[in-house]
Amino acid sequence: MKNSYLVIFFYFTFLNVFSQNGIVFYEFTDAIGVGGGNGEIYNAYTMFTKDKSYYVVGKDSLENAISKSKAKEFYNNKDGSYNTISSGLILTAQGQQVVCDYKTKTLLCNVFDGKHTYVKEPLPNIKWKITKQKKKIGSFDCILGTTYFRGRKYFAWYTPDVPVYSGPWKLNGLPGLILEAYDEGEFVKWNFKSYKFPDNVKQNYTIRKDKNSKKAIKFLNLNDFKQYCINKIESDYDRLIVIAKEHPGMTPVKEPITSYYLESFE
Amino acid sequence: MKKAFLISAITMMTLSSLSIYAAKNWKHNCPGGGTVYFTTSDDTTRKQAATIGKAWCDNRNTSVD
Repeated sequence: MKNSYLVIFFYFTFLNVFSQNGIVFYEFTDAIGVGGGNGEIYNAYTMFTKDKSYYVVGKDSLENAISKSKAKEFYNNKDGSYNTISSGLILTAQGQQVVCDYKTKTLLCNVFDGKHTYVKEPLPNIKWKITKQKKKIGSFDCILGTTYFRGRKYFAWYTPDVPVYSGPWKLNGLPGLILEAYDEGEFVKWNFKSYKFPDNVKQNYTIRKDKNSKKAIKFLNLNDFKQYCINKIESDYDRLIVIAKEHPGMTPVKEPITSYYLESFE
Repeated sequence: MKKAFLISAITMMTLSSLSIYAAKNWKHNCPGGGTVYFTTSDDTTRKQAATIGKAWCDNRNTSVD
């Protein structure tokens, strides 16, 4: 009898823990195209349950006067061979979002490159290699996982203490919450800031659209999005050729997709 | 004469390859989103590069897709 009570108690405790929401806040460094971790720093967060996650960055309401003022006008990489001229943080009302549904195995996201493009794709099955390396982040014991995903090699520190598949951006599938992640060359980097679990505020795991837009969101599939990126880079380059004619000595450069977008599709 | 021609040719080749290395690489982020990459000569200032980048951002904003 005593044993039955104990089993029921643990069962409900288990259910309670895994049906709750949590939220982890990150500091995201965007050094895309330049590397060395030298770039604009944004606030980002991932809220999660056992079955879903919602990540957002570049959202107007996440930044304040202090974080905006930290953005520099100029960055260069470690060897000084690349210079970035920045116009401050690029923010929109809805930000750039990624919604993962681990039950239906779908992923929705939007990318902002001057306009928002929405994409729906099957949840990427990221093949992680779990290493023996360990370190402490905040009060959490973390383990290092590595993977190659869409053009970059990623290093992700996850904690088995929070047994969910979530992390920043599209990085998912490790047996614990990812608290820190970066790619080789530090073109992108997510640093752990803070964490709340359980978070009793009711969370919304749907992708947001522009509040002023009355149209329903039109989602591209991954192939169409890849084509969109290629076309965009091409048309932007063509426009740069026009500018080059007015600025002798300037040579337009077309870089690979990973210099414009977080992911590539080769 | 032949030797002098050879030396001047080598010097020219060295200088031209050096000028490639002396180029500056730029990435320019537009305020409304969008990124562009270009190179300029080594003596280009940050301000001059920003003007070029801004011209591209403005051109893009005024273009109709």
